Parts: sequence; C-alpha cells; structure tokens
Amino acid sequence: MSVVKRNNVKISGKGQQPMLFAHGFGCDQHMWRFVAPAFEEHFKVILFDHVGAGQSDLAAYDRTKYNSLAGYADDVLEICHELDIMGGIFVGHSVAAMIGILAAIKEPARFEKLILIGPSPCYINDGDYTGGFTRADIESLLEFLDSNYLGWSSALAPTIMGNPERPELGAELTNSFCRTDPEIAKQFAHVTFLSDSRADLSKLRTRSLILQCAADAIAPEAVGRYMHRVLPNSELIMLQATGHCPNLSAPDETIAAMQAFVHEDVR
Amino acid sequence: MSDTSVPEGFDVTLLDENLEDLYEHAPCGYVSTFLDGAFAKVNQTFLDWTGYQRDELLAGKRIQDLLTVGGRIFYDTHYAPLLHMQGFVNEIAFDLVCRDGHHLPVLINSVQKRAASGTPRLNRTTIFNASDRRAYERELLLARQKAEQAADRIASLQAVMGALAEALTPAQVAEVIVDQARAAFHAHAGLIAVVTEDGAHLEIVHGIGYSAEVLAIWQRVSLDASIPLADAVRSGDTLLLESPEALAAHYPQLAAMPDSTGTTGIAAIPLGVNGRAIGVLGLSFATVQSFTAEDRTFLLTLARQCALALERARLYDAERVARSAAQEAVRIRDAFLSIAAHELKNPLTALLGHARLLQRRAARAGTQSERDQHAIAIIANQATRLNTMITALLDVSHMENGQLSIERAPLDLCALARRVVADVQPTLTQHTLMINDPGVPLIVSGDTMRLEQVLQNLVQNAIKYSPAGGLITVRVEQRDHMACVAVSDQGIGIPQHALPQLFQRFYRATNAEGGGIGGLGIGLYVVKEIVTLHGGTVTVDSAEDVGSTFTICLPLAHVSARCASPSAQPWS
Repeated sequence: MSVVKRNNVKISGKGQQPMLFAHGFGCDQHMWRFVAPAFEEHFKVILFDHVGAGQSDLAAYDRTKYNSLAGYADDVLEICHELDIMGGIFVGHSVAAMIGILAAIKEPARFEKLILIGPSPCYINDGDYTGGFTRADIESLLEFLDSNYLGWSSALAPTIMGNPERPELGAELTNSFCRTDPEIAKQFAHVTFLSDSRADLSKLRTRSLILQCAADAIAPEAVGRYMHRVLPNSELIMLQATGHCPNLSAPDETIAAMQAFVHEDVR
Repeated sequence: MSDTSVPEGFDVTLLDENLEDLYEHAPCGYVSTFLDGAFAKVNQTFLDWTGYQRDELLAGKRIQDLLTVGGRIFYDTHYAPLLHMQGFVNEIAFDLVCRDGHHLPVLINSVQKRAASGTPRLNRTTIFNASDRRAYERELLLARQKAEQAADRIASLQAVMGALAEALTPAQVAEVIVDQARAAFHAHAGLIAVVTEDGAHLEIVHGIGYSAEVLAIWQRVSLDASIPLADAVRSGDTLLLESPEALAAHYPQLAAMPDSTGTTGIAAIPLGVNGRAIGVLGLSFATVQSFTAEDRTFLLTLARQCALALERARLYDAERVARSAAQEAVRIRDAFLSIAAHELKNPLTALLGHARLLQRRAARAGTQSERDQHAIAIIANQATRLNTMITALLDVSHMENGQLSIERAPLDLCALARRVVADVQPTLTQHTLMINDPGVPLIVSGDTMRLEQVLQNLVQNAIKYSPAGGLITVRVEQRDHMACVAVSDQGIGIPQHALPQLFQRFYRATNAEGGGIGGLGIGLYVVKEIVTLHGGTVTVDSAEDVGSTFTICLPLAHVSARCASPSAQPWS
C-alpha cells in the first residue's frame, strides 16, 4: 500500500514549494476547503487524511502505532519521503500542530516553516499550566463518545444525501466530511486529549507561526501564549475569529495571516 | 390571506398569534444562534426544558455553554465544522445541562441560513427530547454487547473443543483451558491443579502469569489447606472473590496478596467428573470483577470441558501404560515359546529316531513280543504327535515374527483335498469322511505343504470336535474367482459369542475347554495366517450342538482341464 493511497494524499497548485496541510481531531482534509485553494497559485498544495479519518485506508489502522502522536508524526514523515518533500511548509490544525512539531524535530530538513492553528501541547491543567480541561473533563468526552455511540456514530456514518442549502457542494461530498470509524475516533480522542508534548516544544528549531483564536474552548488563549513562550522561533497572531476552527469560520482572516508568514521572505 | 377562506367577522391577527403560539409551545425546542453559537432567539419549550429565563440566555450565553464538557469538545471538533462545511447537521445526540444541573438527553438538528452570496448568517437549531430514545439506545447497546460477548464465548468454546481434541496429556489440556479462560476474563494469571493419586494434595499441572516463586510455593499443597483452590475442590462449589475486600473477608491470611502480587480478585472453579472434583481451575485478576450469570455459566462450561478432557487424558495415559506392559508380556512369552520349542525339539528328535530304529530292528529280528511292539509303537506315535505340536508352536512363533515364508507354485486344490482325505481316512473309526468336488481342477498358486497343513488342521478339528462321531464332509467348489474348500462336521459346534475370537492365537471356545477336548488353541490361528498369506479368506458358520462348517477360499490361478474323477465319492 503506497503512503499516497493509505493517507488519501491529494496534490494541487502551480508552485514549487510544498505546503502540507494536516487536519486535526474530527473531520478530515475537507477542513481546508476554504483555505488551501488560496495557496495554489504559489505553492504545491498537499492535503491528506490521517489513517482512520476521511478516505484513508482503514485497514492500515494499527492500534499500537496510533496509540501515540509519534505514530501520526511518522506518517507525516513517510508522506515527505514518498513525495520527496524538503524545506516545505507544514500547516497543522489542532492536534495536527503537535504532530507537525514532532515530525519537524525528528527530521528538521523537511520543513522550513510550521503554521500551527489552535495548537495545544497538553489539554489537561497541570499545576501552573492551564490546558483548559481537567482530567475529569476529558473522561467526560470519552464517556460521551462511549455512551452516545449510537447518537453520533450513526450521524457521522457516511451516507449520500442532497444538500439543499449548498447544492454546489454536490451529493458525493455530503456527510463524508466527518466520516469516521467510531472505535478509531475513540482512540484518536484518547491519544489527542491525554497527550502531553510540552517537553518536546523546546527541541523544535524550525520557525513557526501560532494562530490563536478568541474564545477557543479547545485551545484557550493561555495555551497559545504558553506555546509562543516555549517555542524558540515562534510568532503569535491573535485572530478575531472565535471558536476552534478559524479555517472554517473565518477563512479570509486565516489566509491573510498565513500569507504574510509564508511570503515574508519569498524571493 | 384570501377573503373567501376567512369567515365573516374573523380576526385575522388570531392566525399570527397562532403561529407565535406554535413556535413557543411546539413539542420541540427552537433555538436560533449567531455563528459563534450565541443565542439569538429561543422558544418557551426550550426554556421550560432547561429552566433558564429568556434574558439569561440572550445575554451572551452560547449553545455550547449548555453542553457537557465532552459534548462541547465534540461540538467544536465535529458539529460546528460539519455545519460550516455541509450547511446542516442532523440528529446528533447531546446532553443539555439544565439550570439546576440535571442533564437532559436531546437530539440536535441544525441548519445554517446563508445570504444569497453564500455567507453564513445564522444557525437554526431544532431540539428533540430524547430521554426515552436514549434509554432504549442504552438497552440496545447493552443487548448488543451481551450478544457480542455471547458470540465471543461460543467462538471461544469452539476453539477450546478444537484445541482439546488435540490435547493428549493433562498438561496440554490445562494449557488450552487456562489460555482461553484468561483471555475471556482478562485474568492476569491462571492455573490448573489436580488432586494427586493419594487424594491428599493438589498439584499444579499448568500455571501462567505467576512468578516462579509463587508457583514453587503452590506447586503441591495439602488438600486440607485453607486456601481458595483447596476449598473449591473440597466443597465442589465455585468460589468467586471479586474484590480485595471479599478476599480479605474470606481469607484474612491472603489479605496481603493484592499488594504483593497485584491480585485483587480470585476465581476457583472445581473440575468435576461424575460428581467428584478431580482438580481446580484458578484465575487471578488485577482489577475488581463483577461476574454476571453468563460469566458463571461460561466458567462452569469451561470447567466441565476441562474436567472431561483431563479425565480422558488420564485414561488415555493409563491405557497406554497398560498396553505397553501387555505388549512386553506377549513379547517375552513369544520369545519363551520359540526357545522352549527349539529346546524340546532336539531331545524329541533323538527319542523319535531311536524309537523308529528300535521298531525296524525288532521287525527284522521278529524277536519282540506283540506287547513290546505295541509299547514301542505307542512311544513312536506319541513322539510323532509331540513333534507335530512343537512344530505348530514354532510355526506360531514364526508367524508372529513375520518369518513364515510361503513358496508358491501352481497346485490343484481338488487333488490336494482328495489326498488329505485319503490320508486321514484309514485312521478313522467312528466318523464317515466324504469328499465332494466339482470334477475340474481348481488351480491356485500356493505352497503345497502349508495348504496341506491347513486342510489337515480343518479335517482334524472336525474329527476332534465331533467326539460322538458322525459325517464329515469336505466340499471343494469354485465360487466366482475363488477356489473354496468347506469342511463340515456334526459336532459340538461353537458358541455364538466365541466366533469373533476363534482365529486368535491360543483361543479356545468354552465348550471345547469344558468338554474335555484338548488342544493348544493354535490350529485355526495357523489356518488363518496361512490362508491370509495366500490372499485368501477363512469363514466359519456354526451352531452349538449342530455342527460347524469352516470354509477357506483362495484366488484361482486359472481354470483348465477337468478333474480326473468327477462325482461325489464316499470314503468309509
């Protein structure tokens, strides 16, 4: 199984420099539908689904490998190897921001810059550190995924249906955005929300841009500021956008912030 | 509004009020929110359900704020993105946290209203009370988990059956059961111990997950010991200690166990066969257990299978030991027979030779009295008889060792039968011997000497087992591609129960033994061996006190010229 097929890798754009977009917990590469096209003019845009999400090969899901973020970071590097990515730009949303940091620490030459949207190295409060959640909160999420199994898994199962509100999206895309295997989603939630990668942050040498939303319950402002303080070569931009998904709710503002960062030293 | 459809004097504002009433008091909650989730408009039903005042919600609260933490994360990571991308989301189950803190299970459906340009403006959400539905779903989920567990258990039992079929020793049986039981109950350790032969101890046959130290201590313990394994065997009852507390209450001396080995619960299931415990299956758990009725049934089923397989393995073992002892005994006897026969034969040959010499000399000199001649004749005859018996014994021992050789040549079975009959005839006093042949040669490929021995044995048997005399018939005939000789008598016959063993070595039917008829029980064995070596068969048809017919059939070599003398010919 090629990595391209395994991770449902899609490539577009006219540019040379690769720009790899990684989605977070929930949904898949469609998360970038309002943002990625803006970079096709100057970059080689590469989208993919984590194994277990979207149209990735579910058969490749290995409970042991994906029991830590390192397994997902290895997949990012495998994509880099297969596509021969050197000096690219990594864009990671939510937990994928940490996945990108781990990959960049392991093989620094692969990425020139990282764009981290709503990142968090640790979701659970710990002493002076404010992650935004208590351990009981996270257990409540896992319990939610367990007890509401029928409620959300059937709703997220891929079914073909028309979308009267946005006919231009086409029927085949409908409801595949958050296509997920419930068991895999549960493990991904475990791995994401119980991870603690704070000790890794100081090892990163790659330049990074942190995009922090207002009123983001998943990655609160305090976390963004913490990231900025600990990451050696980082910039922090506070967005006007609220919530956890500015790439969906405020694509224009998100694109503008990203453009400034990726073009600042374009030759 | 068309005037014709409105009755005269009807106040049309009533309809608008009606619409408003429908919105406010519909059996579902209506909530309009701004794009960040902040409440823009809510209906009375939603307020009634959640206990909030309208003002409280419209003062900047967001719909996410009314979700549990888990629900809120799910809202941010799945629900909101889906709504953005797809424009709607249907039937996602959430719990609303009401003003007084209690949770209301609901199903939420949202539609994103957009401007003509496509810009999202407002989310409209319809909320259904799903308390009943959630309860059903939970039951459904439990039922499904139960069904899946039952299916797993059936598969597990099938695997046990398959594996047990191949397990021959108690240790192999124990390994199969312990593995399956540990897997099914997530036990961190398991063992099987069996009651020793003296009935006083328990000995571990197979144990896994325990430290070598623990196994060494429990390897052999007294059945009187006050420990769960021994208690389960003595009482014959399953012992389930599901928590450290239960463990400490029943076995204070084991109370330290959870700390020292990580064991927090124990199950001891006796292995019963015919109402008697032959051993015990022990499982140790690292987490607190709660055994359901299904769990207990499954454990008992496993234990029953284990007990049966252990018993089978034990019997198999015992049988193997007994069989090898018996085989050794037979081997020693055969060796003795062979040596004894050889040792007997040497002096007998000398005895017989000298007796014949004496006979010839006396005959020439004519000096011996008739009485002396008779005595010498008896010595010679009995020595000959002894010689025949010893030769037969030697044959048997050769046959057992596969050393009997057959020298084949074409021979006429008719002629052979006639010769044997002719030889025997002069010795008979109270029997009538008749031969009945088809009048054509029946050529078989065989060893003349051995086949003559076969016919002699059959005819001599017929004589011997009809002590009261009577007719003995030798019938030679062709049946399909076989040449057959049937020897019938009117003697004592053979009991039905003796027929299956008749051709076994040293076997003698009870009525022969009881009737005072002597013999070694090897004549028919020799017949069967020789005929079989010729590719033929021997059958017997007999009725007690009526007589017996023994038939041998040999493959025909070819059929040609006619026998010299056709027709039946009595000899008497």
